[in-house]
Amino acid sequence: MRGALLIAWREYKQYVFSRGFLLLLFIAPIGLMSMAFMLNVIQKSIPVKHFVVVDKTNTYSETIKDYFDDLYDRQVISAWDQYLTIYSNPSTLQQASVDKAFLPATVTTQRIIDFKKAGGIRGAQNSLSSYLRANIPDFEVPARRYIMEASPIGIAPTGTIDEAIDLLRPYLLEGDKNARKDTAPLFAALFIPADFDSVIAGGENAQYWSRNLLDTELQDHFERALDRALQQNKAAAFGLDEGAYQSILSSIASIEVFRPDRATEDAALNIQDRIETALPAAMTYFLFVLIFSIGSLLLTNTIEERSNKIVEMLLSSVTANQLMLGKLIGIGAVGLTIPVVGLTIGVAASLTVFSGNEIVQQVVQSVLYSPLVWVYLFYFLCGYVIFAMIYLAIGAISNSIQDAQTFLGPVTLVVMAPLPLMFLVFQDPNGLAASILTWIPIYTPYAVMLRAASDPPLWEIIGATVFMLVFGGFFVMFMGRIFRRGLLNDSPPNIKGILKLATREKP
Amino acid sequence: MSEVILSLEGVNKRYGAFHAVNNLSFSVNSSEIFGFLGPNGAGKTSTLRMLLDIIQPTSGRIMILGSDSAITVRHKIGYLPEERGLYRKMKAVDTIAYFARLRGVKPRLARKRAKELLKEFGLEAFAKSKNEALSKGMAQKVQLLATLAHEPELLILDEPFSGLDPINQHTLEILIKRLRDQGRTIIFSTHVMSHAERLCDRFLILAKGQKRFEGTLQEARDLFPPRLFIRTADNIDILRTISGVIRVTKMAGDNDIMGAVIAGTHPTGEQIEHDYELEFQKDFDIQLILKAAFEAGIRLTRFEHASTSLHDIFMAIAGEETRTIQEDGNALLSGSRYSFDATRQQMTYHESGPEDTAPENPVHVNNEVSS
Repeated sequence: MRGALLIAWREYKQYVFSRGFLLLLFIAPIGLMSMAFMLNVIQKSIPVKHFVVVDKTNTYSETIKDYFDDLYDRQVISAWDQYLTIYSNPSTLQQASVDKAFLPATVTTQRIIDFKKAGGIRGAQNSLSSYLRANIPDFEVPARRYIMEASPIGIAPTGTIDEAIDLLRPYLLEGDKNARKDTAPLFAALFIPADFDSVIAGGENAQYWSRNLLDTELQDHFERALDRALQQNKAAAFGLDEGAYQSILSSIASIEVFRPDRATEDAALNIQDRIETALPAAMTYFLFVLIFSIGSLLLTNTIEERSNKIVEMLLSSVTANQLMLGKLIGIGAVGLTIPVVGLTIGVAASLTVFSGNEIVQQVVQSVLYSPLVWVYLFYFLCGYVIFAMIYLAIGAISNSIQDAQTFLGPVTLVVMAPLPLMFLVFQDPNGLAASILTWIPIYTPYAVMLRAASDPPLWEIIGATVFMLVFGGFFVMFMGRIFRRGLLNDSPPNIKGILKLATREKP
Repeated sequence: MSEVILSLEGVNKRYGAFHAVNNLSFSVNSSEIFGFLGPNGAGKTSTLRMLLDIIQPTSGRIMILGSDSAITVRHKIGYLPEERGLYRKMKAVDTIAYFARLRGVKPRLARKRAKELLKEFGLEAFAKSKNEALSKGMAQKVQLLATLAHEPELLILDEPFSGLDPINQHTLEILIKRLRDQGRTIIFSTHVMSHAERLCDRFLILAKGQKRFEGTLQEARDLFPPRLFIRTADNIDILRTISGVIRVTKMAGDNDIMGAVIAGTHPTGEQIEHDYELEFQKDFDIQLILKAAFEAGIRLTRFEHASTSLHDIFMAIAGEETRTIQEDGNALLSGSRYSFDATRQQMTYHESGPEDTAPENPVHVNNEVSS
């Protein structure tokens, strides 16, 4: 074991203490922070989209304006909810004696009305300032993303749609061609014909003109606004007044999720539950990433030792099994270094900077103290060993990456094969796809990790795990033989040769 | 008193249908330099790998340093493989210390020894250089030092001289002798006979996986009759009549294992000198030749009592180009007209070799031989 650990330590040092890796370790958090900052900047710098509505019916422009005002109110309240979630303690917040409209919840039409009635964003800030943590940034009211402008000069309300289009066309062009030299160019214009009311019965369609037809977000909003207006008209035709119609629109079902395996008072799904549900998917994804990244490291590393002829000297110092084990441990540790460093920084941050943030604490609790973490780790290691052995064996019989490519194609196919089924397993952890995948030993780790939080049948998990371990034992033995025997072979073997390497007793 | 530290008994190694090592038995004593000689593909590397338990024999028994597996005594063995390499990005001192640690030396001691060895071999200035920055000769020295840093009792060197310049070859020879004098045992394989001739206390010749000879250089030389080379322009028939002279061969051509080229052709053409090889029975006093030549008025310009070189011995026993392994396992060396009986360890002289391996220009043997 001592020899294996020495090999492992050398492998680990070779990669982790290299300039490139240390730079990556240093750059990774900076990169993540920079990316978050950039996203924030990009979000803020998204240009405001100006548009005009030429409405020959004189009824829809007001509805559209209301739609975009409503959209902005939702944007502001959502931003406020997010601000509160991050910078306050959610449990004390729920007990706060403030207007409920100021507290994080689904943004409904009724809540918007209540929010405004209670004093709007300024009222919310005043009411909840004592519940916010100290030394936090001020709430920034988000900027409007869409601004509806009055029709430019010269568009006579009496003119035709075609005349209006001709007049507005210069205002919709890019750059220097645009007629609005001093202000921002119009992003789009919506032309609503006079007979739009009867559009369902065959009337003329509304026309959407834009200088960027790839960005359909504004077009979608127009469609939703007009849909709503037409539905409102229909409702009126059926004798419903506007208040009744708005009341129908605000009738949004809210569903709270519960777990039947808990006592009623604790059954409601909390943040920790949600994290625990997401953790299997995260671990499975991580296993995929690790297998691919470490697989290539194992491969190149073994090929290098084989091609630079150092392997025979190593084999005179340690056994082939020790060499193999050392590589598995050392290079596996390389792959785990970045996540472990990230986790350590995360835990340290949760104990210091985010010590008062309940969500962060719950995330840390879930990741570190959930009993399922040990289950994940076990299957994670099993999955790693099974796939890593394949890469080690390929490395041992290849003199170059070109040689290895011959074998890598089928291996990649095997590694990737369960990916489409993973989504099915995630959605239905105890369904047929989950069971099938669980009983295929090389995919058992993936399947069990995805199913672990969903109380799968114990007999199935134990049975499949025993099967996986037995298969894994034979698999490691065969791959180990290929590794041991292949290392000293001069030329890469063909398929028949590989089978011989795997099945012969003595090297 | 020396003890057997390595013994092989009836060791075989097969790779499918190919019999790489065939019923090999030999032993190595402590504190000796043991040469492991053989042409390419003779089974040397396979045997060395079996000694080290890197590969397992198909059958047979190997005892090394009192153990039946090298794995348990690896810390007492140093191995320099034929195909050598280093971690390119590793420093020289770290490389030596790393291999010492793999063989059980404590970290600090390993580093200390690595530094000492580098200093001793003139590589102190390159201790912190990465291996990729070293010249080929320096890299080979580092590899050798990596096999020495754990102070092994038994050192196994597979073709240690290959790739070294003459100065480093000489340095390595001195080192090997010094290690032997310190009580270490050295086994080295080579197909460069001059090194083996200068270094080996005993050697083994392997051909096509079979042991052809095991013993000292003197024992190998004793397989051949004593020889004398003379050069003269006079008639030497009188010398053929001396009791104890087996053969007198007029030398011509360069493809005889006893060969020498024609020498001494006079520029005027009046006198032509020839080289002759005289072979005798054992214990023959060569002074009798000198005396007879003096009395017969034969003028000698060369009188050289030559030992058979290891190169000649090797070629006679294992030479691939001219040797045919016969059905009975004996080797027949056509060019030299010698065949070697491995079972009886006996060299036999032939008047003519097998037709299929006869030399293209066989002018030098038949007419001039008497026995």
